[in-house]
Amino acid sequence: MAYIAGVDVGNNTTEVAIAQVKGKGDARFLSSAMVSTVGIKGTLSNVMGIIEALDQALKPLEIKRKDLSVVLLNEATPVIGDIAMETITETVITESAMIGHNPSTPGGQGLGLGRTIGLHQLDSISANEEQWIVIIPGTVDFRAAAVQLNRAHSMGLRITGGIVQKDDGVLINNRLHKPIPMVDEVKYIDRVPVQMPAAVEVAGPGRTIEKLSNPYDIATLFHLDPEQTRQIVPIARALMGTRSAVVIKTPKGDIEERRIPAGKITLIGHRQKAEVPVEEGADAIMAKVAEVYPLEEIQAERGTNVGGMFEQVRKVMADLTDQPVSAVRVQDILAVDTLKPQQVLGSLAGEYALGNAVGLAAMVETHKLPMQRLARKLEEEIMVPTVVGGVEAEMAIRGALTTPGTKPPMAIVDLGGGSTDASLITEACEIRSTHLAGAGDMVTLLIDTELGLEDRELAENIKKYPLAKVETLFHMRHEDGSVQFFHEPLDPRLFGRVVVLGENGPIPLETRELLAKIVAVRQQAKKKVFVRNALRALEKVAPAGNIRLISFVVLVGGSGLDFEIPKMISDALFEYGVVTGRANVRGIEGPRNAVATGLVLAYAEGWIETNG
Amino acid sequence: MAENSSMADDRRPVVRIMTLQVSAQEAMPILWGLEEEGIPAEIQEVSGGGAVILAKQAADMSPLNVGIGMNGAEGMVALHHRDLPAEKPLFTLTMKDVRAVQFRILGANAARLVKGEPLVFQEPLSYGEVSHSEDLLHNDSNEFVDLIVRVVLELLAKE
Repeated sequence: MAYIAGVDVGNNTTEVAIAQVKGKGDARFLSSAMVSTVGIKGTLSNVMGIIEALDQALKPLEIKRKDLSVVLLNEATPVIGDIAMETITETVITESAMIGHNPSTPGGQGLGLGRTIGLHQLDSISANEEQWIVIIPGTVDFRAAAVQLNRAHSMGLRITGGIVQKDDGVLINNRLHKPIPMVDEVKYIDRVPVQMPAAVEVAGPGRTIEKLSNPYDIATLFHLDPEQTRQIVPIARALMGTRSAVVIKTPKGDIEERRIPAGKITLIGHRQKAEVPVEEGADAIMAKVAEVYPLEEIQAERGTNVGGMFEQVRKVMADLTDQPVSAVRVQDILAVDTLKPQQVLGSLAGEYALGNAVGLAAMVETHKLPMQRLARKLEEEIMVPTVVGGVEAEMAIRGALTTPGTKPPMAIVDLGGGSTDASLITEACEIRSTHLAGAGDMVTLLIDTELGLEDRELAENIKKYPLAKVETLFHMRHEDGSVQFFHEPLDPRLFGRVVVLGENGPIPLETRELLAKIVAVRQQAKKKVFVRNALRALEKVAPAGNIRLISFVVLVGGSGLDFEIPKMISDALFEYGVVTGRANVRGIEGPRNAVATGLVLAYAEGWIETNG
Repeated sequence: MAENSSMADDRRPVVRIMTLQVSAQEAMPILWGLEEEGIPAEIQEVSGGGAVILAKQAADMSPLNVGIGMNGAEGMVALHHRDLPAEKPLFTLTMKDVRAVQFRILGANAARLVKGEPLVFQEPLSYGEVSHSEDLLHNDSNEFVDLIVRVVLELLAKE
């Protein structure tokens, strides 16, 4: 009889299973534990995490470390993934020519057309047929502005709209004899050109502008020729969905949607080689990847974001495995199209326009991590024989097969942070594995980019936890529509906001995006990466590449605990007639502990009484 | 229909501002804050009560559930909600040393509380209407620096 421990050092967590082995194939599991991995997987700093996990698992058993007969480490598959974003288009305004934004309270309603003029200049012009759009700087009190506008109106001047620097649109309008549409909160009002034809549009509550978001209406208002109409398309597009907008026609006004050269990716397969420009988008890249498959190496152009990311990921792997960088190759990529809100260069009110971008994940894989080194170090520290036992994918399958209701042919899918891994065990007990680029970190990047957060940690939280809207000081409505009441008033900083229900309480989001939009972005990101990659990975390991020939698919690892990923993958696999679900290792561990459990089982299989 | 419109029964949908020994001048910025946000408000002079108590009374009376109390002698302004415990107003301001813009924010927040929209905690950028240089240097220095940085960056980007 002996006590043995299986240890799985993963990218994020270190998991332990402790069992008592009495004879060949007779292992009784006693306890398990999970801690965060210390350091990069495969490095000596992992030892600290392993000891902590061992102690956690041993404590309730009242067994000491030295009572263990052997500690089994996984032969970790050295897979590292990384991600980068390449922007393809951006909107550039070289002469101030438009304002389109959503001040919370614009003034008036309707469409006004005229030439721009400063408020202080109104006194010096006389009434005629000319129509005017008045520019009201923040230095003017709203009452003074209203008085001056009313005076101008009574003199017969035709003022049809206003551009206001402060949040005064409603206040000024309420004091006018004749209300006009006004766009307020225009920060850089001193950049608005004067004496230029302009149009101001404000939509009613709950509506969006109609004229200034339509290129032909802009063409009608400003008498544009077909070529000019083509040029203002980016403006119209940027203004779609806003409640108020200003368009100003400047003589040299130049707005363009610029395509940014994003470099090329070179795909080198066993038989052929292909190049694909990143700006052609994700579909073109992935189509080429499928065409050139099986891939040997992927190269990206130097000086681009993707090129830099490729270099980084190869260097980390080279350092980790003591190999020259030149020996490390990028073996898989996942490209995903996304939209990136970008500040419009030369904008007047800090407007954003959606630019196209491509997110790219890369994966490198080498033969062996220096796990032996780690085993020796651990042995020194805890004075217990430590061996590297079993390949990770094989152990994971063994562990996952302890899930009640499964049998070969079964596939496991592990959606990690850096890579998506899948393995299949056939009826003949052959095991096949694959590692693909793109997983949790990619989802975080997509969420971060599409919502324009520039806060990776917040994006990570949005990925992991559901959302709610704080509707009153005492209740919030969850994203599924249910309502939760509180006895103590909520923090006023949460009031009226969309919040992420993180582990340490609600986190308010600064964005004014609707809850439904954020949910949609999150779910789309998960589908684009997780669902797509689960299918891609299963196709690679399935007999004859046919997913229908797999009977059971179980999700293992942390992503199996996500609140919506298992359902998404289950939905996608349903049409293949595959039983899909979250693993329940040994009937109690859920999707966790598969590898640690597998290590112990494999060891017990090979148990000979004399080595006990 | 004109029902009994005595004070106690006045349940019109307005955010009521109950004031004691406060000049119209002082209360005006609060009204402007509400007006810009499109929520009706009304000043009502009363004969006694601390700012917090007045705010609570005003909130209890209003069908909008939000009220403001101002007491000039006490030098206090409070924003209250009907559902909050009487002794726990949402915000209080001391009238001394507080600039008009903060009263306007209090008014805006009263309105946003009614509308269920996120509250304002940061002062908007000052454009030098009153006591300009001070505002920029002391209170909005970060925003001001941000502005300069942005402008410089954009100029560089144009090169």
